[in-house]
Amino acid sequence: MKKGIIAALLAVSLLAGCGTGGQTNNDGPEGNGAAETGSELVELAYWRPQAGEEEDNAYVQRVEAFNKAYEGKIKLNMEVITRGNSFAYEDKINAAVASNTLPDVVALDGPNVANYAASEIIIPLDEYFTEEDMNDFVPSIVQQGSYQGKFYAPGLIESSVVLFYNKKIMDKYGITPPDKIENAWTWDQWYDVMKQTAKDGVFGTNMINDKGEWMTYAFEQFWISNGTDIVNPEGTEAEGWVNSGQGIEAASFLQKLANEKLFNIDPKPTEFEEGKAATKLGGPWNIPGFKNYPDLEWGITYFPKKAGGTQTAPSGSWAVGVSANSKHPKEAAEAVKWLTNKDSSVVLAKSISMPANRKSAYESLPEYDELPLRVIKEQVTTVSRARPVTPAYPVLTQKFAEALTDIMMGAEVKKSLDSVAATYDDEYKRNFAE
Amino acid sequence: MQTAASTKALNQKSESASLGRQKRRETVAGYAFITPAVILLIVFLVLPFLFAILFGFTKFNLLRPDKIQFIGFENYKILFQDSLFYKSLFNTLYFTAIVVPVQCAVALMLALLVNHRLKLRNAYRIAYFSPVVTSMTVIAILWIYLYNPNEGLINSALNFFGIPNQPFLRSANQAMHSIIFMSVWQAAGYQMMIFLAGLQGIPGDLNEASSIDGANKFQQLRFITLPSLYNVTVFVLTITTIQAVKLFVQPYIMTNGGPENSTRTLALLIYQQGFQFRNAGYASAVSVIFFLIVVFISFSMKKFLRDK
Repeated sequence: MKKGIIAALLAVSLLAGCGTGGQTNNDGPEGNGAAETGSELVELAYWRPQAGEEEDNAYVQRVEAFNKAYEGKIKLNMEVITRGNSFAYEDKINAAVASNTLPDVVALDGPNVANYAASEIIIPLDEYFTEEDMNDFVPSIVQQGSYQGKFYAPGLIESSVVLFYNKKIMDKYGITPPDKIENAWTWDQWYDVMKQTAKDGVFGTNMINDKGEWMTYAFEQFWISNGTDIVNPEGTEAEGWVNSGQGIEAASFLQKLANEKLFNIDPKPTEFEEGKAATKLGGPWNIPGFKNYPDLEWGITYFPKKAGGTQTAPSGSWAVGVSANSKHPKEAAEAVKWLTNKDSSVVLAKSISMPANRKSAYESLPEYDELPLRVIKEQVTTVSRARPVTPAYPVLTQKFAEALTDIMMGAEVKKSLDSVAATYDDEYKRNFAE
Repeated sequence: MQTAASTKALNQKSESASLGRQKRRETVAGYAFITPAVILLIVFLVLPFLFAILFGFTKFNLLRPDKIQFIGFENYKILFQDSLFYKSLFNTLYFTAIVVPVQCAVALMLALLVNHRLKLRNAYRIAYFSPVVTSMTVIAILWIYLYNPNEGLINSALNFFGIPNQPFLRSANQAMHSIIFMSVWQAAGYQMMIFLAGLQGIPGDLNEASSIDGANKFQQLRFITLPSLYNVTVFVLTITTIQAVKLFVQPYIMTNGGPENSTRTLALLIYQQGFQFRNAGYASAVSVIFFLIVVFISFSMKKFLRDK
């Protein structure tokens, strides 16, 4: 409740701030004045989706620092957009593109980089980043932010999905989760743990964050671990990938967990924290919330893999780019660089215990050298895989998420996955094939 | 004589002239009054609809408003081969076919109930009407919790009567019915209010006279109340139908069209194609068809109900 009020106050104050920013942006005919502002203050609008309280505060802190450092030259006005558990932020972006009212600096989810770049609504930033700067980013950040050889949008942080476990429950059943990546639980071992622990109102795991992007972000890895993916590496075809034999096997495993009620398809957000789930597929962003539950003793182990398959883990994060609508691309690029520099990286990483986007930042984050956070660092730096880079990603993720949700509710596996493949391939051929 | 007559004629003429002036003034005033409404209608309804017809013939990626391609009837060709379109159309009509009679019947029952001289009559009226003034989004989110397949309140209640947990929104067979149930609960209060107004417009002496003639309560309802409510009922049926056909918020919030597209409606399909997949051209084609369907339904309802 308190969190909600603070978030609301924050949103209101930011909205008020942005009103002026938007106006500055819109007035004056094109090309007039904007070029010769010289010593005049350049106001930039910046949109990002609402996150948790700590994360929102970290952004506020970094934007304030930016405005102080560039006082009298650039003023960055941040507007926080409510995201819900759905695609509300993307809807807002779509509407802004149609009406040419995109902000100068725009946050975008990693897998949307290809789509936005292909649609030319964000501009390449290669000229603003030195080679040294680029090499400092962890590789997945460069990979995620690039489309057809150009670099568009650096990620603000990195992310990963790990398997949290409730120590008390593990102790009760004498289970010792692995602390070395080569011993990571296989699907079957994880299944056995769930079978043992799912009793008396406790679920074996908690793994439904939302039924939108999360489904693709977290569960595509089951396909990868089993030696396939949900589209081909070029991103042009889903037939024979998402619905391949290995794909069907991965989906069937997830369906088995649902059929045996080892997880709650509609969980309370704090199910794991309240001791109602023995394990949880979650991310570093969950960690700050754990301290509100003093009874919870938690640990981290690796993302489960297919026996004999690839060890893998989700990655990807929100990135930030410069919109093609911006009249001040140079200043906007300055803001993007600031928001993704080492200091921002450290502030963000510390505030929400998300892994940093820059190698240099880890020097200031010694906590990642030890358990439990070591697990996250290991995954990020060695096995993490980005989501497919394809301009048809919006259709892919929506259809895949729908199909997987259906499968977890008992739909026929092959039929559901065939439908994803058919819809994606149609869409790609119709709109993106050259 | 002649002069008198001509004077009279003249008087009449000037009278009619002044009448004409007054009429003209009234006409001008009339147009002045409707102008704002007409402008708003044109800007927010007519123009967008004309655009939709136009865009229906194009390939239009929402992120590329600079690259709109004319493709003739291609969108319609795809649409009539799209099984998801037929599924959505079926779901929309199914929802309408059940919700309209059920919701109107419930509303009428509630109206008859709160029309009695009960104690706390106004409290009941407020109770039945309060879901209407609550945002549908809020209600939909609340009902997700009520319908939770594992620990929802409704399942707890069913367990009390020895019925096992039901999946509700998470089952392709139950999701649409779950949405129908909560939709009726949410909206019936609105129609109840209209019926109530209709009931209070029925003169009391009709019932009095009939009871002197020996009519019982049921006969009064059948032969006096219901026929007197005919016009109100036509109105209620029409608006309920139009609202039902536009079903969007409940499936958008509660099921996202699933499971297995069992709650995907035309409005949701248009939204998803247009905004999530950014195929504005295709979405426009679907909305044109959707519009034609709504027009057809409301006109045929009007004709059917009036001719009876």
